[in-house]
Amino acid sequence: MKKILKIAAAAAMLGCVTAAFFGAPTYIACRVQPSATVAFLAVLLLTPLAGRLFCECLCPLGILQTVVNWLFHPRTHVRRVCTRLPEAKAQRIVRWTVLAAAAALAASGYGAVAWLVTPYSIYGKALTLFWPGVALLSLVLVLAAFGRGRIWCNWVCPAGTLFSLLSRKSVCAHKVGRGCANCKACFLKKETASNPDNPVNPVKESDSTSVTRREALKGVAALAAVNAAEKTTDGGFADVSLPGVPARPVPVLPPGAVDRAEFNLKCVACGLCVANCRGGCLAVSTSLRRLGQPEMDFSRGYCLVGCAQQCARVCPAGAIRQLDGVGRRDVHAGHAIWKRELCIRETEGVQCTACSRKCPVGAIHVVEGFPVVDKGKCIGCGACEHVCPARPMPAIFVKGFDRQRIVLPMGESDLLSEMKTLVEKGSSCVAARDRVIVGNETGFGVKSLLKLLDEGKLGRSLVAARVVGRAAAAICVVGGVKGVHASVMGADASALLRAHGVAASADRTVPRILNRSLTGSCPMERVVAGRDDPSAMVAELRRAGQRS
Amino acid sequence: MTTRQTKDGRRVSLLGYGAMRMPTVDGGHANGWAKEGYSSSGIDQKTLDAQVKYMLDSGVNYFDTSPAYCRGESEDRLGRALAASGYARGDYVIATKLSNFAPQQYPIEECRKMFEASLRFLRTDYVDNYLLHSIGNGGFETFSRRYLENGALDWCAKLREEGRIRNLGFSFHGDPRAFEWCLDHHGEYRWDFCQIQMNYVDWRHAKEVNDRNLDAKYLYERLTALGIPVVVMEPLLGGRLARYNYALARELAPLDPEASLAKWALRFCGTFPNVATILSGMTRTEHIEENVATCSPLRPCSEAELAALERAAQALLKLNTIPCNSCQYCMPCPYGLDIPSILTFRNAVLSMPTPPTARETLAMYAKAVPEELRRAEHCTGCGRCNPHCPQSIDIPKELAVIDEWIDSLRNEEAGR
Repeated sequence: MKKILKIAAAAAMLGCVTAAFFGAPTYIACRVQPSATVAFLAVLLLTPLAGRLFCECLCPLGILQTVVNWLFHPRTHVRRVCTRLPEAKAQRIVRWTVLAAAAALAASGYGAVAWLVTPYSIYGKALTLFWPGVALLSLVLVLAAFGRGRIWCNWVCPAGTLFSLLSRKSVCAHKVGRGCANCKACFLKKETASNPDNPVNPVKESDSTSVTRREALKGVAALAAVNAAEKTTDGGFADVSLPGVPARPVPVLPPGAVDRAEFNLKCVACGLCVANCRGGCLAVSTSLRRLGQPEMDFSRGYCLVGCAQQCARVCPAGAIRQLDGVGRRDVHAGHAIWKRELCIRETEGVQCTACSRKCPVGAIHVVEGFPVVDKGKCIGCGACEHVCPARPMPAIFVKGFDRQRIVLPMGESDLLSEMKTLVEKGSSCVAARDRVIVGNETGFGVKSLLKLLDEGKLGRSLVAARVVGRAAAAICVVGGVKGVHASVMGADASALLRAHGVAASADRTVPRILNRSLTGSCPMERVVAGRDDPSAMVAELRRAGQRS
Repeated sequence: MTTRQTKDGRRVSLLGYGAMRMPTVDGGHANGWAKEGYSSSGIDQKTLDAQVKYMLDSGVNYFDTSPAYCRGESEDRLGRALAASGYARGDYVIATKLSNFAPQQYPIEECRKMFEASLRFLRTDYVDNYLLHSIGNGGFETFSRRYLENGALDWCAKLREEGRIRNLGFSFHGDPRAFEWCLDHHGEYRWDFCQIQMNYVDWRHAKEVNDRNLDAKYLYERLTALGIPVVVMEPLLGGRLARYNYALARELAPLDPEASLAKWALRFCGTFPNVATILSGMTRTEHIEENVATCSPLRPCSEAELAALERAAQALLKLNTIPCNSCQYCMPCPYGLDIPSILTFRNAVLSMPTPPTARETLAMYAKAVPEELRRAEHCTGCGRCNPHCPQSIDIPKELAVIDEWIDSLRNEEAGR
């Protein structure tokens, strides 16, 4: 019964951990591993009672070794090699040296190297095809196949060492007693029936997974620079190439890895966050100090502002903190830096607005054709770096912070008062979405709103404007605005907004909007007079705009 | 095969071959098509030869090409196929164009070189129908610089006198002033034919789609009044009227459940007597076989059928799709984007009777534009594509909207 339970637990655990790498939400599996999480503390407390429960049923590497052991040596029935067997002395030297070396490395800032030998790290790195992980996993499995018992756990693994120390006085686990004469009879099963030619080969299996994985990760082909020549024929494709990865002064860490030094110590480099990143921007570091740990590589993606921190959700080590109630927009993980000499505006003299268009928080403004980064707003998501067309290096890139800045989100009322202030200071219309101001225009009211509409900034947004008549109201309805506040609003405009389910408020409501010289009705209002369908009204306004 | 008489007394087949979407070795079409995956492999000459032979055998005798089509390969490939068909030069009509789109091709010497190259590629010493390509595209000023100020139009008229071209015409997209200018000068240049975008959507609604356009009905009636035969282009709107679309099928299928949507669209154009030929850019042999069958002979639409087509047009307009016909004039984008596939993907989603989920949409996008670096987010907004679009789509704006939409879907997915 106990054995069946153990096998079931081990199978479930191995399945859960593996599934987590392919996007399945298996939180518990990731939490129970060697780092200071609550679940792990529970395992630590349980160990003196139940023995090395962790290595046997919870650790993916331990379970794999048991399986390989069983496949290659079906006749042995001792699941672990007793520390009191003759090789114990050499074994003791090896394992304590490894533990001491790991501790020393961690203390001197090379924790990432120490983590190389821990089980979750090896398993994760192997599944994400990071080569040291693949090499180590192969080594572990070969050792398990040719040795007796879980060689890696008993000889190398620092966690194993720790557990064996704790389980020395274990109550439930069966132990080899003092009277052991080292007859090795315990290695042999009672029945001799065996099947050495087992068709299932776990090493092969992991190989086949790795191929599909590699195919899945295979990116886009690359070559040749941007072709700026005038085209003479139709069709065909210009060559494209991935942007290079700039040498960042400080790497950009996943949001929630608040303190860099602390993160580098805590992260076990398992690669779970890399495998689960929805924006496709996390990659494993190849720097010696943070080997295998995640850092942002924006050549294939960028950090999504709407992401529910999938990296933190799966982090087994608690190195990436789940920031409750704080969205990605509120975590400043770094900020963008623009290099004029690389920008295609400078090198090719062409207009480009990719970075400012792509910025989800409106932190990049185009001034005289060149981008200017509002560092107070920039959250270091890397969208600008990802879409920058400059090759071989992007002209705008993100520099990480040693300590991420968490900005408390602005409340709706604060936001509205800020927008009102902007309008009072001379803006004609301001649009905000998801608590961030995404557009701020100073031109003529209707024209500015049309511009925001064309830029797609009105969807689900709040709009504050100086004057809102039926023309402006129609644009807001078409753009999918949630609420409109105006210093002066026409009564008919307010009715139009409400009729289409848009909230409307105003400092002052007037029966109709007059022209600038107050001699008659506003020309824009005349354009839309007599029409009730907002999209038709917008079409009329566009036509009027083209005529003028 | 139904035939129509042209001004010079020749009879041309009602179905014409548009050499813009030639078959490629990997099964796509030469300029790429979202539905079949973009193609960078070469044109499949063997299939093309067989297709051209089949068309000539079935009575199709009008072949329309341009120096710009299929990355500049169209004329040569068509010339090879026609030469290999075994038919005499007099058995078919070749139409090609003065496609001087880039400013470096505006000077008259460059135009001359372009014409001589066309003759060489098409393996002939005369062109039956020569067209000023896409007048009005890029505005009246561009028209004036391409054809009037450099003397290209007068030179074309002289070519006609010399007999090196038999008929002179123009294809029209864009600025109405260019069209009006040409018709105003009909007395001077005696246009032998004119190529316009005509189908049951553009018949009455072209202006609705884009304020700059003129309805095909107006164009057709103007040309008919002047006795200028009409050559129809985009009868299927680049496949938008041929691919299954619930909005169209709901209106048309009840009247003739066995007819394909493409058949309906071709029959609409053929109903009008002043239409000389209908050009279809057929990639696959199945398309050719089906269209040949539709036109052999073509059954004109009844009043009730025309009314159903008008209802279908209105249903299509309600979908608010982007008027992209995958003509590839915008390509190659200097930054490597696959513009037609992105826009076609957007249209495919808008045409679905029930909107797909975020995950389904993202999967469709990945299939439509497999290479990430060719997707909408990489648009720099440089706008170099815009003057080339015959449909006057504001491409960077559409791409920005699509990218924002895709971003919101990705965020929705990641926010779960």
